[in-house]
Amino acid sequence: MNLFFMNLLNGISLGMLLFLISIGLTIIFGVLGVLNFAHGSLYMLGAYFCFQSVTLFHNFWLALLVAPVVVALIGGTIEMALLRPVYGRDISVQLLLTFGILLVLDDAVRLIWGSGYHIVDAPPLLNGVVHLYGFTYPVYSLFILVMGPLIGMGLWGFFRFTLWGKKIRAASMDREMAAGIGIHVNRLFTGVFMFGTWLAGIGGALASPLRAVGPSMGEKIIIESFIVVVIGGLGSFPGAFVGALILGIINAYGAQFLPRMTMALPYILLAIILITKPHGLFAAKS
Amino acid sequence: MPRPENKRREIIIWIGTLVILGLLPLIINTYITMLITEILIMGIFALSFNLLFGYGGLLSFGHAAFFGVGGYVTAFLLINAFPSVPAALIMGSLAAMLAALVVGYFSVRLDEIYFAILTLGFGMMFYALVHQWRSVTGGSDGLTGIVLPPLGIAPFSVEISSPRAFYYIAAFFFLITAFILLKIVRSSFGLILLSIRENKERTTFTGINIRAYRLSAFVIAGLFAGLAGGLFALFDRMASPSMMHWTASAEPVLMTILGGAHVFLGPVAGAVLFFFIEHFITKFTDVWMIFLGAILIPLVIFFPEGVLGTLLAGKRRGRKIKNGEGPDDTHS
Amino acid sequence: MTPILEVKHLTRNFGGFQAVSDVSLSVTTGELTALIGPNGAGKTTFYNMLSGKFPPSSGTILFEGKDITGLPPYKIAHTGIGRSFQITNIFSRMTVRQNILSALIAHYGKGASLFSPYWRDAKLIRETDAILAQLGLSEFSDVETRYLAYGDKRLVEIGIVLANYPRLILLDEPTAGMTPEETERMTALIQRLADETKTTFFLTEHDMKVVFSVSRKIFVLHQGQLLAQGTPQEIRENRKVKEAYLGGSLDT
Repeated sequence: MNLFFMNLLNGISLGMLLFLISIGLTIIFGVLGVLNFAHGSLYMLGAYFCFQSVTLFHNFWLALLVAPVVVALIGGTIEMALLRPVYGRDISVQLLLTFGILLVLDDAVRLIWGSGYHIVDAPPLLNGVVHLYGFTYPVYSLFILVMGPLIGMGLWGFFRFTLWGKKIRAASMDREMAAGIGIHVNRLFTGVFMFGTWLAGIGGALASPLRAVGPSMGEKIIIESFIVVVIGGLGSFPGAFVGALILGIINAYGAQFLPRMTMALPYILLAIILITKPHGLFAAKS
Repeated sequence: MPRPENKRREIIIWIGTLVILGLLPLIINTYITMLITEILIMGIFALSFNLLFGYGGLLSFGHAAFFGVGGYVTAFLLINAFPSVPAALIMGSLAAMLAALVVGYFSVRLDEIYFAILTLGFGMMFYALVHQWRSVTGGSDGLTGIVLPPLGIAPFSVEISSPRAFYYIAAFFFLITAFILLKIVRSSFGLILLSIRENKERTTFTGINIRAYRLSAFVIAGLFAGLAGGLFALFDRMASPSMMHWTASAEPVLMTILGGAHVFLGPVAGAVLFFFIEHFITKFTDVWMIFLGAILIPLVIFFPEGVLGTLLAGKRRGRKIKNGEGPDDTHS
Repeated sequence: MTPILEVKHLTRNFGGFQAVSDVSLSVTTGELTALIGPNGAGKTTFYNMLSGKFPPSSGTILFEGKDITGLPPYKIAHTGIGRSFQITNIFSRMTVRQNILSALIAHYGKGASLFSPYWRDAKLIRETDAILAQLGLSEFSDVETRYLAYGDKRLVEIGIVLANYPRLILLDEPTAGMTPEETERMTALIQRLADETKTTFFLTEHDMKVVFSVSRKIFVLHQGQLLAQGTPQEIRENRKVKEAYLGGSLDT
């Protein structure tokens, strides 16, 4: 029972991390129509920048603030220099372009920080464990568990109530109409891409004390977040949330009940959902 | 419509290729021989991928699954069942074809990104399977210790374990694959496939069952990917899970984009470039993917037809009106 | 006079919106028929059901007395109904000839031959050339269609439809976006094809001049419902139709 409960916590906390990354991915897809293969690499950059900032400033909170902003700046550069020429081109062209960006970013990380792993310590405030029903649980994981929904609600409010949020939603529904009602599409695209990569950066920075920071982080997370956004329905906000939770929990319980199948479970889930609901659980009406 | 002058040209190209591939090992060293062997094998893999992508418009990100199935079945049979390379290769290819039939059945009804992600997911399922099914697949170590038995029956048997002999095996299968796939893309089936790539809606309203055609293409592509995987396992003397990882699926994609998806030999040209870049750069540094990415990005933006595609388009323009018609997309 | 097409109580809902409601009509074999109506009247939805793009919510479609309701497009194509689209729908990175060949291969079910080169099939080539000549496209046969002028692209689409040798052809706004010259050419072509072949044409059109000059029978859709039917003369004088069009645009 305790193990069961602990796995639930693990699953949710993992899911929340996935949610942060996937939500950026799905927003970018919804507005720009580009599935960003390099999104996982930007998440990884978030983790590395966090690590770098912690070693420089010895302050996790400052790093948590700085790292995502730097990632977002890189994202903005990518959007303006590389993505802009390929809007309207074949969707596979865009996928391959961002794949090229992934190759560059992943190896750039290896060049700068080497192939080894780095450890980021959780800030003192969150560095302990708590005792829950007879087992111990790291405070930091609980912190993630709370941060996920908090950021999620913040985003929801942003999209629901702010002008920019409404603009983004309008643009994701109909790009031409958005241009028609006077939304500056170029600026909006850059803004949305930066916003999405900023979220990936936050995800990476938050993950850094939880996981070893290493050059293969991005490669693993991008596939998982692809699964999340596709099973949730590309471009769907609630889809990303539900998808991330399902995947997180499946991963956690898979390790407990079906250890030999944990690796395959997310893909089996993906196949089942896509075969029965070809455009995901919360498919936007095309 | 058949053009005698082009037919003659083509026969010359085939004979030329045959002679060059036949004589090449006599003038190059073992290292280069092995490099070219690998290019030929990956060329088969990339050609099979491009039947789906360049001709069918389906971007598969799980093609390595069939490469891997071919590799594992070939390796398993050679190690555990019978010492016959042709039989193992055939069984491996057929197994891959069967796997493609199952995966394709579910995947081909989806389009674009959903198709790409679902094939990626299936590919990773196979990857997870060989990783976990230790008793049969050797887990993360893979199936090792393949010994290449001689080809044919003693006393007429030939040793094929030397790099040069194996090069000829690879070259043989490469030519066969190229010949068959070229036939296919120039057939009625190939034109319908092209039509589906160009315009799904129009094609279905002319009376074509798109799923059936896509599935056929998927199965054929799986067969040749399996052959490539079998050859690769023989070449490497092992089958390992990395053959099936999604990053392995990305390789034929990259090769095809490098060379050009709309020219028949584009993926092969891409394979040559890919290995050239890898072997040239890894002499200096391990991080060679950054260079590959740095080449890929401008290529995708400015030369979406790839290196060979761009070169041929320039050449074709000069010849076009004069005598050119026929399967425009299928010139080699 | 047997109807080639008989539609009974055809209805299609999109969510709560009824795009086509309870339309019954029949098209007489060999009679050039038009379907008109203001924008949003449900014409394209109606065609999409006839050609199988999506099934009707209720009602039946009989083609030559055979029930084809809800069949997928590729099966409907094989029963003998061809269609063109409002927005040009052709194979743009293929030559004009390949465009026609593709439809011919589909028609004869030759697509399964994996190894036979289509450009050596004398029968296919002969028929392709005949269709191209019919359309006046012979000189462009080896040009990729993306390089053609707009009017010629539309002609290629007609050629694709013809290559299926359909007995009923649905043309969705065949002159949409055309210059006056191109419109005239297209109108003449439709007229000629209808006279020369045994094909029945059923077209939608916003250009009333075209409608009244070519068609012998007209159906009027309005807000998803059949508002009127009759000869061009009858439709011209129908008061309900005039009201639906807010007057004016019917006077040609």
